[in-house]
Amino acid sequence: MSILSVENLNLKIGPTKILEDVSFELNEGRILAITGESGSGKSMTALSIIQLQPKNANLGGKIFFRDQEITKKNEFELCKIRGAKIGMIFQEPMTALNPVKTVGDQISETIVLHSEKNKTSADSETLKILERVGLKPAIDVFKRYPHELSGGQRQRVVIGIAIALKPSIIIADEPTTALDVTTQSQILALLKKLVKEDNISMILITHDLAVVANMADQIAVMQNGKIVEIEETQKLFKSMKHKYTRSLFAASEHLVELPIIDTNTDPLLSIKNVTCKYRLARTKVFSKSDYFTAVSDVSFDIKNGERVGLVGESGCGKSTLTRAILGLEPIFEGKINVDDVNILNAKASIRKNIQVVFQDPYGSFNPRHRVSTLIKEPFYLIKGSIDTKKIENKIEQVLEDVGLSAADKNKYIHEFSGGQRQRIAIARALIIKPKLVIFDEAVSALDVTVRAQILDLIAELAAEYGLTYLFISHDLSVIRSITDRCLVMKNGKIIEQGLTKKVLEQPKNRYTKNLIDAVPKLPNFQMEL
Amino acid sequence: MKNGSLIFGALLSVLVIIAAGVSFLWVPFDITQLSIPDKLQTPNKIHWLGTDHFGRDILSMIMIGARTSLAVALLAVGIGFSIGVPLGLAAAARKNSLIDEVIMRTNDLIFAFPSLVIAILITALFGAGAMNAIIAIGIFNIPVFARVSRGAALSLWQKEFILAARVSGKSDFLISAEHILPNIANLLIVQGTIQFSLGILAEAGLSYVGLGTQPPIPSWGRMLADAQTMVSFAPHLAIIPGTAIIVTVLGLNLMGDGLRDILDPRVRKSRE
Repeated sequence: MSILSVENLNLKIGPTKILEDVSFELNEGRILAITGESGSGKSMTALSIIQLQPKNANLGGKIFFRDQEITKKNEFELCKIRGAKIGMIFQEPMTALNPVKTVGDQISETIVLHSEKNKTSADSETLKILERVGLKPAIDVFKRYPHELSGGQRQRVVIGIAIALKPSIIIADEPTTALDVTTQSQILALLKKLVKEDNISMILITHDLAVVANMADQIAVMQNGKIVEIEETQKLFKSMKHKYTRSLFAASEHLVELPIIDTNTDPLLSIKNVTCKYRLARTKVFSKSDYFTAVSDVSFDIKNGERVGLVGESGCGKSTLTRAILGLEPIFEGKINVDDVNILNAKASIRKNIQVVFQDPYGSFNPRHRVSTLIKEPFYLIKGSIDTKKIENKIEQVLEDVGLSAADKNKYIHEFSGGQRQRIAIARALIIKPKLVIFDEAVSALDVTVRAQILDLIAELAAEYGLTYLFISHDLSVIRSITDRCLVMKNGKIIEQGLTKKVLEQPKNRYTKNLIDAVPKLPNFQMEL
Repeated sequence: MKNGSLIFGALLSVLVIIAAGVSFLWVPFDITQLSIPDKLQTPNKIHWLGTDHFGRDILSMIMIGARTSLAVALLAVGIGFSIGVPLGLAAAARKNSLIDEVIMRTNDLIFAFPSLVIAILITALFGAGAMNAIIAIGIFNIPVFARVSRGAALSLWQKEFILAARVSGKSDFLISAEHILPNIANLLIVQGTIQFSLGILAEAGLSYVGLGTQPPIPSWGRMLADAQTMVSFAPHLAIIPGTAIIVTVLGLNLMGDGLRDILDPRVRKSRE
């Protein structure tokens, strides 16, 4: 029986169409996944169902929850449905929780608010819920504040709040996108178990096809505000009727071809016994302050022409190590040499050998400068006179190399999409032809199809420029496709290293094994045909 | 209307600026000429805003007073801006270092003193006068600008484009000038208009207690002080300069609020 039915949903903000004729049905106890790239309208669909679309939006169409038409209800009636009948789980658990209240109070508050129960019985129910979402011992967790829990634990609390009122439907909007892979697989398993136990229907919104494949009974693929394909999971993967579904699938499986290199060369970057420590805040006025060791005793070399990957989950020390290599972070012990010269406080003539591409395509550029000013910044490292004409030529050349046009140099950064911005970031890193480029999660913020294009571009440039790079990522599939050798980092230490293929196929360390197993995999349904 | 407060505030501010500007070229009556027979007239056809106890034309005095007020406030904000912003940027660039501590704790120290008392101290030491009033008000603007720019700069220092600039080997000074300053300009403009209106109030306050602009140069605060003894039989002597102060400060504050709404990137984004 259908519990939720959406009929010809249309949504406009100003003249822009956000959703166009979105229709689907959700049956009791089933999981419907809505997938698509950013801007496809998947989150807006979810928000429209609970009538939380932006105030200036113009909504058309009908939404039935059981027999009730939701779009016709007033705010007071909607409040009774939201939370109690339709629960919501958001992407970022830290912002979804109130930082000044204990997690127990936040769950029991929801119960008191929506039911007749008093505080004491709500509290005892909260304890049961905490145990169900796997937060044990519940008594202990009850009194904690959100900042005392890890990201995964916080997301468990948010799930607890969502199931507290035994809703009929849960809408989960990218519930695991902000989490590490190992945590992600635990949270997904928990969600699946809970909805089956309580016979809750779920709408799971995610950009990750692999997550969808392992969770959903039914999948809707969205593009530009329209549902282009909606089908039972197995059938969808077998047939893939729509072109867009096929391209999404291909992009997530994307492999690039790296040019072959000669590895018998001298090390370009050599890291010897590097330890980085942070001073922690003093707990007592006169006590000595403690240190937090972010990177501990790390050693490795990168040879000329090598493409090396660095894998690890958040907090493993990747970022600190990156900054240390860039010479931006003081090193407690050890040495980082580039071409046999220590990088810390090195002269411009040495520093010009390393450039970096960051993760966030939005935060990587000063919004007040034009593209030409932005990408010529590294020229500051080259002392001596280079005439402006030459620099202008180089700017145009490098823009064309990364797949943009020379005319783009006069534009401002907000005129570009995320993928184009990442191309500009690569252009900035390559313009002075550095020997080593560090890609710090450079494709993590991008959609799958754009990610595939950027990976292709990197492979192309690797051939053209003879790039040596260190690719830092939490995403094993990216590491697999774009590096020759990889290092696995955990708690500030390198725990495994070797040829990428070997490490990913025959991991020796247990942590690496867990990491690989936790990655959601796309099913190979096509083989069954 | 969306920008109602901005437009209204700007109109009031422009009115005051025009009055001050015109006073350089022309005023209805010469205020250095006393004319006792014309004293204490209420507003009439010849003297639009009446005359004071020496028979001087109040409209002329208000116009010249506007000039004094604006000049003092502008210079004082200028002092605060040109010293405070570099200090704030330096503190942000060297976060948690000794320089940061020294700059910010000195700021705290200045903040902790009642501003009027310090102004009185300065004028008592160096003599009363417009110049010393400017310096006194200016000193109190320094920590305001230093704090605002440090706070805004700190969050910018975490941005990746700053990291990219550091990778390009740019010095902290160059990064502050090239990347940080243009990005906090909005904030400083808004803070500047608010400090400007506070400066006008401070000038009026100092002149009122006789430590600001000295006679015979007219000043709104001075006029209020003179009106004090005559307020029972010639209330317009107090009402008119009081209104002038209110209009100017209100205009600048409204303009500051409006500017903040327009220049705040979050607000601007939602309008696009």
